[in-house]
Amino acid sequence: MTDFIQNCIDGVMIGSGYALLAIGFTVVFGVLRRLNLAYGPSIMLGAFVGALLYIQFQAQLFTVAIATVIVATLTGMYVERLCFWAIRRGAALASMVSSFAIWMQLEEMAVIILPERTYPFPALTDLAPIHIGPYFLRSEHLTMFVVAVLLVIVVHTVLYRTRFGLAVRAVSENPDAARYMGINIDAVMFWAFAMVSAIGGIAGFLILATDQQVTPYFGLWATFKGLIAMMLGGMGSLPGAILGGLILGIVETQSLWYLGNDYRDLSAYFLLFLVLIIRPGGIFGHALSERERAALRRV
Amino acid sequence: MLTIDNVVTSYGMIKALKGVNLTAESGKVTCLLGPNGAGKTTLMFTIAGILKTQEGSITFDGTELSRFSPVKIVELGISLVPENRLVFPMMTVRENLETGAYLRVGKDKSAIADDVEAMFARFPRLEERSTQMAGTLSGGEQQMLAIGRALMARPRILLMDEPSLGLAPLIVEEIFRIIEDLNQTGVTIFLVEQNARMALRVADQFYLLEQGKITFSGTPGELEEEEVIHRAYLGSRRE
Repeated sequence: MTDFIQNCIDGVMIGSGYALLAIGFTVVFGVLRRLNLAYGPSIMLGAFVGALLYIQFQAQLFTVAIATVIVATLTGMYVERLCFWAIRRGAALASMVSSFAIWMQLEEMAVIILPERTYPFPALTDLAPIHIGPYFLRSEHLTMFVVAVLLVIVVHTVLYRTRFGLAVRAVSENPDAARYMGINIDAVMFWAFAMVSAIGGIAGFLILATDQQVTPYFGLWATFKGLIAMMLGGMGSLPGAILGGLILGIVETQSLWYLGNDYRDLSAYFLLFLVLIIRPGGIFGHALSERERAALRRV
Repeated sequence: MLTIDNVVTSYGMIKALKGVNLTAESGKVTCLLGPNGAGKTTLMFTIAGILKTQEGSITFDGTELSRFSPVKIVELGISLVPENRLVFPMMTVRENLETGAYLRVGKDKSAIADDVEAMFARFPRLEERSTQMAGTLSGGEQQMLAIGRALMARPRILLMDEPSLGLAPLIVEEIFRIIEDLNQTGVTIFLVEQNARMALRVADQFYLLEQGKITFSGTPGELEEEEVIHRAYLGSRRE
């Protein structure tokens, strides 16, 4: 039982990083109704620039963090202009395919910057783990969790308390109507994309600083984790993204402990498989789509 | 005063408006009738800046707006109540109203709160449901919300695209009473309708749009001639 609870604690900590990645997917999906596969690779490119500064110039942790977030954000803006703004609404598949092409481009760029397979990444903290009774908490995990909670609060505040958030939600629900209200929907999509890329950059930095290494495969990894967490929770749902991330974290940690490393990813895919069969819309997505359907019947 | 002069709008190769001329006088209700596919919604979208004119000009109180962006046009005081209402279903009634004042959100908070109260006074049914998701409202309530949302922009002219569409007859009567009230409080209205009989009650001036051209213009008295109303529903009989 102690192991089980310890795994749950670790799972929630790791899952908070997944939740941040899933928020990126879900906000973009909500606003654009399109998937951005290049999300993970954009973060990876940011992390590679951060790693370069760390290796070449012995940059401090904070500098690496800033560089990672800025480059991830700029790359996100580049992806938006190229794959989403340039390809109009209604061509959802074309955007997704072109974001896949940009993925390849970003991975090549990362390999040109740093051609080896693995590079060191600065450690988040060097504090000792915290002991609470029989359980312990890695200080990196705790930092990641706290930052994730703060970011979720920030995102929620932005979406529900600001003018920009009102526009983002209006565009998510009905871009045509949003335009009739005088909302510049292209600008809203662009800045939502930028915001989400910055969140991704922070998430990527936290995860990599916990692992203390970065590889070009991080892009693939981040896209996978974010997508799975979003699909578990329900596409386009903010609470869904958070819950999906946490569940994914817990399931992975438990299966790693009880079944071994080989089963870690397998059990995550199996869980997704089950959710998609039982509740195809995801955990929150199902309730959401039901409510949405009821709402849309009358519109 | 909204003046549309010889406006041509196309979807690719297809000309939807083939030189439309009409005028919506300030303080009046102007109604555009026409059968399905005549180009009524196209004209609305062209005025709102969603579609661009190819030829001709649209002026509002002397300002040429055919090259303006939709944002600029809302700023000028032209608000659209879209066909099928298009409320934001997962946002509350209050939030829906706030999106209508989007251009002012964050600038004058108290004025927006006052305007929301004014809308609630005008539409008490919306106040009862202010925290409800707009998608849970009935069709008539959604139409009221769509009208209220457009009014939140403090428009000088309200463009209404088929407000009676898909509503039960009693609700349609209510919506037209609202239009009448609005007009009496000084709102200029440009109304697109298929329901000519209801429109007769409120409108001061009528136009009939058929296949992208204005084929009739006149007062309610002139419209009551049966043949024009027939054309409004079904279009001219073609040999």
